[in-house]
Amino acid sequence: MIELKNITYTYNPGEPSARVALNDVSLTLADGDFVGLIGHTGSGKSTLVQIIAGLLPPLGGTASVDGTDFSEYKAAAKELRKKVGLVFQYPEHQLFEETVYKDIAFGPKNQKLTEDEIDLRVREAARRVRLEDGLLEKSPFDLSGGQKRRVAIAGVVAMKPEILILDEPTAGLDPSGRDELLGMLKELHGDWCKTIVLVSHSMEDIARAAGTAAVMNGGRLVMNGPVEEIFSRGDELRSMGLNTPQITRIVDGLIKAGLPLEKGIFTVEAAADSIEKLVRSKR
Amino acid sequence: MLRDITLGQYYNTASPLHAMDPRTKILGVIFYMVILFTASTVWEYALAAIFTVFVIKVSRVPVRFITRGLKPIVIIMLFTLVLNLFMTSGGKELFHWWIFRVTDLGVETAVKMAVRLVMLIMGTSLLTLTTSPIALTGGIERLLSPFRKIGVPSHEIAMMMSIALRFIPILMEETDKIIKAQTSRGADFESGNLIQRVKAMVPILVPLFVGAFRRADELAVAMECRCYNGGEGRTSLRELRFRRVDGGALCACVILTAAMAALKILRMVGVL
Repeated sequence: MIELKNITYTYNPGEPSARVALNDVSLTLADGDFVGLIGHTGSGKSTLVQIIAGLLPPLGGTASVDGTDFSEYKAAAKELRKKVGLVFQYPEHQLFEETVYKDIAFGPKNQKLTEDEIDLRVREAARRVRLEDGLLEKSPFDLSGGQKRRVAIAGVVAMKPEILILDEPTAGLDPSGRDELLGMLKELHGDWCKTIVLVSHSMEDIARAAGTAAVMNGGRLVMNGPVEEIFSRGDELRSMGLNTPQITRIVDGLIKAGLPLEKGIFTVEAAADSIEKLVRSKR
Repeated sequence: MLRDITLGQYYNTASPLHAMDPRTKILGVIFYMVILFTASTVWEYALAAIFTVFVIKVSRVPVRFITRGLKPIVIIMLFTLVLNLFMTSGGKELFHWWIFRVTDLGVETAVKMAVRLVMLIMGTSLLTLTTSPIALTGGIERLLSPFRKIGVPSHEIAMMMSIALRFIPILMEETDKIIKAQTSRGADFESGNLIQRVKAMVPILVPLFVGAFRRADELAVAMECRCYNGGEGRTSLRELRFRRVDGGALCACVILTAAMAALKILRMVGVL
């Protein structure tokens, strides 16, 4: 469990280009959470996840890991890095090894695991992200964009982090690639990584995968709670330049038009069920 | 650390120096370098220093931005300082130990060299601090255009420079991100012996190079899509204008340089 309290961060402090990225943000990530971190571009999401991952010292605030308080971020950062695996935006740009296998093995090797354990981790991670075995000996630079991304994600997954954070992992993927990735994350959650944080500005992604959602706006954490609750506050989301999932807007429209559908629907499947139920009851 | 490099970082504010024609500033820097390298007596150094301070004041760029550019060259400066201190022969001996001899002439040369380097970096970084990269390359292109006739590809040189300058902050950001990403995967860049540390750079350098080539490719395609085919017949959105203040500033530079040269010549023929 990670607790961040009153975190603040400013880019280029004291310069004309100074920009406040985080303003008094407190966030708790409990074991077993699947959190969707939502926010507009520039709302501070990426800064926040870098602080959670122990990569960026905040200007103010405290962190506690598994109940141990750290007065200094430097000490906390070590613990955070051990526990948290961060997949950056466009992670495929960070591939460097000669083969896919070696690239995935980079993290586990740095963890000083035994050869056998590394081999096991690499193969399991590759299987989990749905990379075919034949690709492991290929150069990562010869793969397709989608495959590269999966290799990069496997590189972090292979470290078996307790908390896995993914920054916009679906950016630039086609719909089927996105579905596959989200399905993959759901499978990882609980059994491979205790906690997953999915950073996204796609409400559809959050609705499909996450259990709770945290909404950032202008460097502040403005909402935090179960996904159903967040998506019931459509007007507030819209005032921040965000929105509810498309299907929720459609169902809300239908309700307004007089159809007695259930409230709080935010996946296409749930909407289909609800409409089916309505149609059957009418017969 | 990566943010310490001032080169190619424009400090946006309103000042007479910012408003000047980039050509004036480029020529000014050339004159400034001539002044620095002809200066040899304390008084000449003082004159150059006064000029430097004056220009910095006029630029309205905070001094810490200008001194920040010095950090990366501290090593080079120490190196020249030490080299000049011990390698200069002649003069009165001040200190002698084993093979090391320090003479008063050595101290003088070392200090002068260091001061010269500091002023050189501060003065030249002022050019990029007060001139946006676009204006700068525009100025270079115009200054080089008379040499087109003898085959100097002035437009191409300016275009390459502006692209290079534009890419410095992008690549720095990219490096920062790659370092963080590999740190998150447990990479360690700080411990180990030299060979291990060099090896630890591979996970940074490979993605950085791949990224630079990818960006170059994308940029080339984007430029071709907009029918870019060199400088022939190209016009500028912002025409450069040489105003009275530019003339004045350039005159001042010329006079100062001439004065320095005159002093030097006078000294050489033995009048001073």
